[in-house]
Amino acid sequence: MKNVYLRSMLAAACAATLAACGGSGGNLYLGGNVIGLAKSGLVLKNGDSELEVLSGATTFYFPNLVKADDRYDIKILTQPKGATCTITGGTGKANSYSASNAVVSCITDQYTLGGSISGLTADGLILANGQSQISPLANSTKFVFASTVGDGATYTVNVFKNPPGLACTISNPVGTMGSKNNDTLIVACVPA
Amino acid sequence: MKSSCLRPLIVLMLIAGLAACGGKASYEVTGTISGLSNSGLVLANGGDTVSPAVGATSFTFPKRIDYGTDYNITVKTPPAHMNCSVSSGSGSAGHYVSIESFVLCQQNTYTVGGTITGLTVDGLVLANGSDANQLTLVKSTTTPGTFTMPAQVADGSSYTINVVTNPAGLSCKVDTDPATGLSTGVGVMGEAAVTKVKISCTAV
Repeated sequence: MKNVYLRSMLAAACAATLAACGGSGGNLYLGGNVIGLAKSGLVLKNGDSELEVLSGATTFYFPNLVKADDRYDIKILTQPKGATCTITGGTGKANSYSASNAVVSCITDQYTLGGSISGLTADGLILANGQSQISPLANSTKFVFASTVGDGATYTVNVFKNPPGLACTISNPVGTMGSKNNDTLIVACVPA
Repeated sequence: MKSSCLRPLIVLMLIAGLAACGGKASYEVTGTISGLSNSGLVLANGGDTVSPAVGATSFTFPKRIDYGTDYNITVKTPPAHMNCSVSSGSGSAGHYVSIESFVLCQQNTYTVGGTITGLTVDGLVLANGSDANQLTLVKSTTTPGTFTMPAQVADGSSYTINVVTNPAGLSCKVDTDPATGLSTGVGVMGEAAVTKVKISCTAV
């Protein structure tokens, strides 16, 4: 009998101690990992709680703690500018494992890079943007690199190889990718 | 009394059964491979070798080894233009249920860089294509100055080094190679670091 009394005393003491841990009654951090966030402006929300996640962040945690067995539903309130994020594991019932197990994956928006060519009377031209290459054929007047470039990324395009008998130049080889496909590069070829 | 006779008999039968299986258990020395895009890889386990083909995702050495035999899988010859590393490649046969090593192969990479003249002001920014690892240079302390791009380029890949931002009061450009008529900042990576990129800065 005494034993039962002692046990219930202990249980009550434990409960009181736990309740003292947080005003909102929780002791679990709600959050997780962030992958690929290279843009600013991402805002997450869980219920009334909002959280801005900065560019380059690899983790996120809401300021308000949650209790065991609380339901949570992390949503994207605002997408970053120039990137698209998705959440996995953002919904569930909190326990010490699940509450910090969400993953926010972000991909910077991608656009094509290309432009116009004049005077290309022979095959053999190779243009390169770093390791990305394209070989427009004779009489092409337009080109688009197969590899896309991220919103806000730099590009530095060069003539990698001239066609036989021609010398080609790019008048605007360096720039920054905007938020749409870029077809502004200007390549001019003249007899060498 | 009857029971004490039966037990040794069962034990003897079990031993006989095991012996029929070939005595000691033997193990295949195997593993998985990722990234093997060039030919020439030779793996060795002691004197035993195996040459996985291009694109192979697994390998098995010709010889099986007995329970308790040590194995140590090494890269005897790397593939052309690549380097491979082995993990979980050594131990004693039978320590785990099977021998499962991992071989990861990657293209060799080398740095791109060169020399620069006239860089008397901080703040020159260079880029290689759309690689996010740009290089910001401070004014040269040697004549000529030297630079090395922060990101390495894989053997066989092209590079296009250009000026992204000029320092205040200077105009910097990548020199043209008179032999080819092309920029010295352009090329394809071979089997050694590139140091031929030439940049000149002049006051504006």
